[in-house]
Amino acid sequence: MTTENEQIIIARARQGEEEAFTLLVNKYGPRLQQMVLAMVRNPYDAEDIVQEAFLTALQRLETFKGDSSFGTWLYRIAYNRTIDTLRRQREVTVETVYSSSREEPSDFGQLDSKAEISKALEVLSPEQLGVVFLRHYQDYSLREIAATLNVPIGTVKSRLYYAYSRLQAELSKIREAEQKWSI
Amino acid sequence: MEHLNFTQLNEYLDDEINKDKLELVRAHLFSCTQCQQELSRIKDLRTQLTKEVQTLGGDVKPALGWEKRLHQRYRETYRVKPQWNRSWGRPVIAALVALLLLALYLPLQNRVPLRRPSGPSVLEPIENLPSPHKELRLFGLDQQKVPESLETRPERAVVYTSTNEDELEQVYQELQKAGLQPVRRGNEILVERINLQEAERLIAEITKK
Ligand SMILES: [Zn+2]
Repeated sequence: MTTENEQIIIARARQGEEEAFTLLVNKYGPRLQQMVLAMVRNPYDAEDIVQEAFLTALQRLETFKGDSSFGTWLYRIAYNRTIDTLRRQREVTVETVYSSSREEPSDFGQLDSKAEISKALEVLSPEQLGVVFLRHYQDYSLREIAATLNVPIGTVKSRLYYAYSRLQAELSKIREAEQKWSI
Repeated sequence: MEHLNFTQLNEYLDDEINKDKLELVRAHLFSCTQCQQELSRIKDLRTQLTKEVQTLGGDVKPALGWEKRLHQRYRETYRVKPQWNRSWGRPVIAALVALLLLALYLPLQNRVPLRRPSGPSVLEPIENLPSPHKELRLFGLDQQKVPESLETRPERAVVYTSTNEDELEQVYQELQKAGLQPVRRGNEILVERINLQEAERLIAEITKK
């Protein structure tokens, strides 16, 4: 789907041609759904976000002034909805959203790499988490993230690097605790 | 040069160091083990993140049927009819129209002399026929639009008109030989209860002879 093609497809989808809408869903849907799901960790919240993102992206296309792709616009809306959902989730639960995947130390007091990261990510704010996912899940460059969030690249850097430093500190804490446990 | 701070080390990895400073940064990194170690810690963290974040979504599955519901929302928003209606409806109607046009065109192609009746007197005896046949006759002769009522009717009368008495007689006999019951009305021949395609095939055969 070239950019030019995509513009035609979007125009058709906005006129109610479901075949055109299907093309857009096939292109962006599964990947977006998976990323949102990895962040909110609840299939129903993820579905709501993806639905909102697709329909809002189509309906409010006029307000998206940029020469970047439909995907950028789609991810911007999804990102904002995801942040809102994460905030709401954290308000209602004392345990953070990642607690479900937290694993108790094994006999040797060791968390595997995935559990470690999963636990460390709990300390991030929703915005920091969002940037980390765009960078490491979506494999976006700093510029792509800036375009998606419609913020200066400096903002992306400071948000991302601050997230890294918090993660690094948290991982050190986790590893220290594991070492004590294993002694 | 002082040690590189956390931001500078990250910028270095992201190719975000200004060109004029890049040489200095490289030179420092080359000689300072402390900064080298810090850089490799950051690299490790990033590698671990890329590897593990990818799998985080894997243990939660999307709600079954999410795509179907997304399309449902789309239809509600854009008031779209279900997809089969759009993708099948048009071709089916087009095919029906094509068949009807073909049905009209074939007799002409085979030089079946369908002609406009000379006056109301010719129409008169046909008034006795059941209405669908009457409709087809009118349609066939006037070449106006097809009455909607005809589209679904399986049995029809075909009208053959000619001013040539020999031709009429020949067609009449051929139709009889074919096991049909043709009816003469003035300079017309009617066949009742016959499928339109079958009638066309017969007339085509007759006109060849
Ligand atoms: Zn140094």
